Amino acid sequence: MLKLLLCMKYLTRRKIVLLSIVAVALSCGLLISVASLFGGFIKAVESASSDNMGDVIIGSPVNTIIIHRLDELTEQLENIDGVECATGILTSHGLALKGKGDVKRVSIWGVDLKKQLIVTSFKQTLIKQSGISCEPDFNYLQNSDFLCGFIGLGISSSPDSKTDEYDFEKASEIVGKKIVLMTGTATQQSSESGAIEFKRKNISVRVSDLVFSGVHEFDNSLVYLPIDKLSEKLYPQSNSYGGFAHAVMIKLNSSADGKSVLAEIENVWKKFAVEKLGWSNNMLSYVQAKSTVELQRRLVDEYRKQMGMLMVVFGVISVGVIFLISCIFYMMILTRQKDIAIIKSFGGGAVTIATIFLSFGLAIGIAGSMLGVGFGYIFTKNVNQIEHWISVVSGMKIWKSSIYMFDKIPNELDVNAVVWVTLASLIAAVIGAVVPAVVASKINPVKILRYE
Amino acid sequence: MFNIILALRYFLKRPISWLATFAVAISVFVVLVVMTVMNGLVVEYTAKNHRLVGDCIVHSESLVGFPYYQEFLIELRNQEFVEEASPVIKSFALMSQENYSWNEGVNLVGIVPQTHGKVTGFFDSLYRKTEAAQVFSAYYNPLSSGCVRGIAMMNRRNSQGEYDHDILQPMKLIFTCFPLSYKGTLLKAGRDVVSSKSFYVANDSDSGVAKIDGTTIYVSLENAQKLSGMDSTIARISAVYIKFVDGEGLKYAVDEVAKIWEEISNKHSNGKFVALLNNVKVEDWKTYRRESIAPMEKEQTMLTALFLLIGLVTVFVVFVVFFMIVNHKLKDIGIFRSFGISAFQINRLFLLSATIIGFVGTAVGVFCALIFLSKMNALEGVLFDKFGWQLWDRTIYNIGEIPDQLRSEVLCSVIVCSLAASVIGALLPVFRASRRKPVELLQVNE
Repeated sequence: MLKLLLCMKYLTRRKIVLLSIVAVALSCGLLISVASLFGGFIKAVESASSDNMGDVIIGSPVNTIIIHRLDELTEQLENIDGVECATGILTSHGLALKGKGDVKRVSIWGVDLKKQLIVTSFKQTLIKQSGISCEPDFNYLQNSDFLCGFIGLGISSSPDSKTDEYDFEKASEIVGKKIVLMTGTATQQSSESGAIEFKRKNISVRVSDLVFSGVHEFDNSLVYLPIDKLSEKLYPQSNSYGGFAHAVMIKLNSSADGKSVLAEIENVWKKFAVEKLGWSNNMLSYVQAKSTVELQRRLVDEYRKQMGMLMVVFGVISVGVIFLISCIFYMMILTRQKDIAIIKSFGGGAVTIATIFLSFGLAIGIAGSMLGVGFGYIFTKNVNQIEHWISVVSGMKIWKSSIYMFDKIPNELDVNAVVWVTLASLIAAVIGAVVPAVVASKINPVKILRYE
Repeated sequence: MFNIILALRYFLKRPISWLATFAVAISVFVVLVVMTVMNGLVVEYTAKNHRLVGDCIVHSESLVGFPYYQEFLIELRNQEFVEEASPVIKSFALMSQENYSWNEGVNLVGIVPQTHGKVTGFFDSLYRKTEAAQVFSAYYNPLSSGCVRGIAMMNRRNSQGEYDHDILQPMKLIFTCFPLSYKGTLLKAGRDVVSSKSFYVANDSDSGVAKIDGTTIYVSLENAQKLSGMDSTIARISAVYIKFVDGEGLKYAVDEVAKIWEEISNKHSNGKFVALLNNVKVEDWKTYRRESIAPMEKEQTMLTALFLLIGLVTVFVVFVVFFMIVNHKLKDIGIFRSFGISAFQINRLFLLSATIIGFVGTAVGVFCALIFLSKMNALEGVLFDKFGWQLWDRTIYNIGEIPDQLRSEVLCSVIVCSLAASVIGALLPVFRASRRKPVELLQVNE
């Protein structure tokens, strides 16, 4: 009880204690904010790939190998327990002529829209059709005589250079208009010569909707067309049974065990490629089934490493907090020598005195880390508004989707970081109190209380 | 003199002062190392962007380009402040490879190697060093049209950040463009319109700017002009890159170039191509490459702001240490005051002590930072050899060695900040103590 009373008294009566609480809060809040923002960014990178490409993808790294008998393959994949849906995409690169002198580099995806909506979060990304109750449709504008497609918002217009925000109204002006896509395919000229020649294809497309996923790379380059129409345009000679694609995107059930389902998908794919497509092992090594998170692994690992380095740097500097607490406690002991001596003269042992100061250190740690967590939470949750204010005041736009991939700063508080940073601050506060506590416990009451 | 002796004595005889010194040293060390690396990256990247485009750029934002560049170039080359000016075409093309089924969108850049090399660092960026006349001449097929490929387009960096590849292997690339008329409409392919052409890979260009090296193909200006339709009706280009003579003020020279362009633009203001002239901008290299450079500069600013926040902790530590020292020396202060020493002199004494703490802490921090920086790359090499750990994975990031050159402006600003932090931390406790009356301080119960 005495310990508790003294702790409370020191906490409330000594203004200098506030300084150590502020220092703990500052370091704690900073570390939590950095970990949350960096961790949130890493999570956003991982989820962006699964949101836009499904959970598992079968394909070659540069999508150059065509997978035939697509319908049969997707049916087999969908029969696997844990697989919700599988769909093929046909890809190509090209240039888009939007208007006079206005050309942009694009990637073209041929998709089966119905399945694409199940495998990815595609519907939410459509600007015109996200709010409608019925299924989105390429032919949303009812121009059935014309090939309709969706384009990324960034293809239609560029974000404002100062605010990095799109003018949706202006961007939407392209909807209903015609653009020309220049793409092409390489085809074998004759079976005798074996020569492959690139054939240019111009495809006129009416834009029926805009896609805004918030991921710069997708929004800035992707044009979506119906897979059957794109197949006809790119490969008019091909009479492949059951469709074909460059890659197959697979969505898993939410309750599925990712690893075991992925292993099953790999088995089904290998068997299908060997038995139905007649592929060699060499060919199979180019086209593999991988989780979309795994595809980002190298990059994500690199981000994690950089986050670790940043945390180490800030952690080292935060060691100063331990010094600070040590100094403050030492100072308090110097000024409270008489109190300590009186407690000792009433029979308080060295352990009692040391415990008082260690508990006091812990109390500072608790108060500081609580404040720090609060500070970290407020900062992380409002980071987009804070960034907006900074850009308004200073005219300097810190976060740009063209640089950092996403249009918004991920602002989820990292609970793991909160736990370990709080624990570390508590330990740091107690460590800071150890030396002064030992000094206090060694005070000789006779020397201190005698009148000189 | 007594000031110095006492200040030194306080520093040497009070172990708590060493704690403050240690805190200052740690802060200085960390800030110096991080800022040196960050600053080095920014400076290096900015220089690479400068080498990419020269000092000044006159460019059109439209892919249609602008005409009358020949007389503009003549006029520019007549100026004393202009060392060289070079025309450039920037367009997009679809790239495919002979006998392969892939294709990819690329940035097609048309240059005149002889002048482009004098304006930019293009020759230094070439993988196979060559003369200007041989830039687009493939070693294995010197008579055919050649192109220079951005080095990151088809090659991978190794763990040392180097591209180790062979460009002597024949490779034929086909580029297909949207040829545009001066009105911006699509030119129909016909007898006079060429939209597709094959080139042999003659060389690779490693500018060090990842976005450029991963997407750009260089061909001769003549070929680019044909492919993009800029030779139709009236010859056009996308930009003129200009290098000024050394020592010429950038702003003055850019303003002069703008005047020259304005004169030419006014001269042709009644022609049918006037709309193309309105899209032309005259900018210095920093403004032109702002989108590329600004993010790194912003990150550096953010990091500096974070360190300033952390530096507050050092100020707190010094504050507390001085609070203790001054409290412990209250009687000394009372005696000094009773001898007639003024509050100002007392302040000076303790602030001198704070300066000594700051100075020693800074010196230790700088010394350790210098040692660490000089060994940093070697240390990273050892860590990579033993544990496969690198600060940046060089196969992902286009970074060579970790920048380890401590820049004088960084050093000076850190020294000034750490000394200031030490003195600021000591101000409050010192001023409080010096204002107290000697009678109060010398009381027995104090």
